Amino acid sequence: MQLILDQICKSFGTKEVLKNASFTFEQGKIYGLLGRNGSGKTTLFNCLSAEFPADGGTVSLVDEYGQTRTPKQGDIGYVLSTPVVPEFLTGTEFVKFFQEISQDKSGRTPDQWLELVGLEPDDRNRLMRGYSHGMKHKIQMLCFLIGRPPVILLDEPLTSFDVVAALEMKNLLREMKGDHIILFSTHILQLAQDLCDEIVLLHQGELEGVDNAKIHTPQFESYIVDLLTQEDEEEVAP
Amino acid sequence: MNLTCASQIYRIRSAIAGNRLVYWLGRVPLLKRIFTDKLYAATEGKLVLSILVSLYRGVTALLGKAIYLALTWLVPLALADVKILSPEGFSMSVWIFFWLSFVVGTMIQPISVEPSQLKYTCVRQMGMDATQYQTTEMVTHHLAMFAGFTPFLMLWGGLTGAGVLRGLLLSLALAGVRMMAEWFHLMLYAKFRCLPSGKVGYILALTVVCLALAYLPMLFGVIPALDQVLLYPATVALLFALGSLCARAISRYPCHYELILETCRAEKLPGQATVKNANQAQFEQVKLKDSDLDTRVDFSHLHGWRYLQAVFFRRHRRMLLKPFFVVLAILGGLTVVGCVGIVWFRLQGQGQEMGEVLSYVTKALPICVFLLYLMDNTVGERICKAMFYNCDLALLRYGWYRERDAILRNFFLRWRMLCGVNLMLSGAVCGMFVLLTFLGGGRPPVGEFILFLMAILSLGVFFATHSLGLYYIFQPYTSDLDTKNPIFKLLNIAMYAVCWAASQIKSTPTWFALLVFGVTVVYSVVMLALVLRRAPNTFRVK
Repeated sequence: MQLILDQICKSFGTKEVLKNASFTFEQGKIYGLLGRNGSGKTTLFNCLSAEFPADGGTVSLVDEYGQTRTPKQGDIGYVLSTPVVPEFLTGTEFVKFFQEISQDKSGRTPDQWLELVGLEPDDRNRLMRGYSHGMKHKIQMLCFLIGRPPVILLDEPLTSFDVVAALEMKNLLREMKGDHIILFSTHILQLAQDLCDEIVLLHQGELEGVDNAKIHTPQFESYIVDLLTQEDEEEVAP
Repeated sequence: MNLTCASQIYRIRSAIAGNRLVYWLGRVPLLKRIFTDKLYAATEGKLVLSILVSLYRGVTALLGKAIYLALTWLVPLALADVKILSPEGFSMSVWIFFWLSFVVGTMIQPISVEPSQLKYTCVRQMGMDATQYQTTEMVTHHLAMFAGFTPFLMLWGGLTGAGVLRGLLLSLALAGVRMMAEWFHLMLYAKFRCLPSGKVGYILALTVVCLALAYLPMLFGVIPALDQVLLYPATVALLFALGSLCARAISRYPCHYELILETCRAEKLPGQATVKNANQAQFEQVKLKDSDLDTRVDFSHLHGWRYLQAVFFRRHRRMLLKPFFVVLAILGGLTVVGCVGIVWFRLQGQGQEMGEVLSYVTKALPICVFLLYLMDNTVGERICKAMFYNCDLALLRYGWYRERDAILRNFFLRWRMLCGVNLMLSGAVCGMFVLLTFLGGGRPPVGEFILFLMAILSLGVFFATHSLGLYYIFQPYTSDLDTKNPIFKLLNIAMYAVCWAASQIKSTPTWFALLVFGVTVVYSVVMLALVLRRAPNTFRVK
């Protein structure tokens, strides 16, 4: 399966955030989306998840048989940097509800799912309004494990986790990647190197893949910094 | 006072004012193209704009002083029958001015402890020296006050025959006292960490006491000759000298920065806090309490969306049932009163007349329309807010919750639940009418009476459809809990106006029940059709 972005444009007022951003993402890989502050990473995610419409361009999904279609709302799962869950439900209630509406055929019970993401038994039957940031994140991630949307977008997902939770989450993402296209934005280069199969830069409104051979080299950081500052310097130069 | 600092403050003030203006004008549909983001960079333009705004503020400040003096002096003096343009009039006005401006004005509005956006920006965000900021702002503010009052006080002195000079002396004395009051508040903070000017009780007590002291003598025909003491040149010189010493002490005050940290917190600033609190306040009623969250009830026999809504309504039963029981109690009370009335009329031998009156019970339908609106709308509006705040605000961030099928399934489950609540209320109203009509011996035409009852029942469905339909079609709330959609507000006002107008119908035609029934059915069908068509696109978090 592939997610194809073709000429995506988005402007706010006079500011062009995305300028014909195009890229093809493939199933089975974790993509790290890097870009400077304000480069449009969250805007791109919002356009992909239909939080708001892009001004132009197309997004399409190509399945394993080569059939192309426009993604439906449920095809793209989006984990916000600040996770939101319905706070009037307990963790177990939410998982039961979500299993039913997404017709989960895994045969797992809500408790088994919650155990999978490491939510303690005492917390499962507590209302989610008392959950920590990390626990809410786990619940959101669980939705994607159960619902199995083809595309998962994660906006700076691991920044608020402690080291143990971050490792659990990274392992979870590695386990999930075979069935999904996972795209996550981050500013932490070490995380991108550690977790991603490919790195994509969002710079000056455009998407650009990074040479895979450089990801695990010691020069990676300076290479990325050069790429992200290159055109700025060109603009400044007379 | 530091002139560089004054100039910097002025520039920052200009930038804030200019940016605000560009931001708000940029939101007006017709002006959007002119007031673009590029204008934020027009620093010089904003400075010119700020000079114009300053001139405008200067003129309005002068006018404000004139209105203040006219209201606090001229009106009371005229009412008290004191000869206004006379030395007595001047003495009386000095007495009033003393309590209102020398005491209340200085003691409840010291600018050194007042939270302000400008102070927050300059000192906390931009790192300006706190002492320089405070002294500069205090001096410029009090100079402006002095400049604003002086011409009017001199004019007043001249007109009353007390002399122009005495007017000037009064203004100088006030300037001195203002600086002393600033120093007093700063010392209160330094010694006792006390900030009385922010406390409502203190402001209220001081205002009431000083108003009483200012105006009570006039009621008893007494004209205190305070001006003889206050405006004695030596007194004024002393006050002015003390004010100057205080100004000097203020410039050496060690706790300006601490004080600004204490008073200028983001949540305390006017504007930001007001908007945030107002937004929060409209959802205060629908916040869940711990006691609402009963996890013992077993809903495992339900599945999917039905399960979600059952848990939602169970945990919001307090919000639904409280107004429901209040209305039921009122209806029960009215029924009991009605029954007692029936017995009393029968005992008086007027049972037949009462029966005749009750035969016209269907004429009460117009007022029922308005009363049912009040009952059902309270429940409907509240539950829609609860749906948004406690459920949809979070779930609408998930793609699967925004799918057409999910939105419509949820809508119809909620609609059925809300219709059920409203129908129970309408049923109780019908029960009351049936009981009282037949107990009282009323014999309304059967067809008309049945139509009347059907109209009341249909109103329950109508109002449920109205509240929930508007919520789904317009989804007016933002993630900041603001209500943005003007059409939503307008339609709610229109519904109130129509229901209120219906209640004003004095002579109810026999076809009115048919009209109500017909309108409710047509409106509900149209609204449901609109929900089907529009909600999948519009039911989003703004």
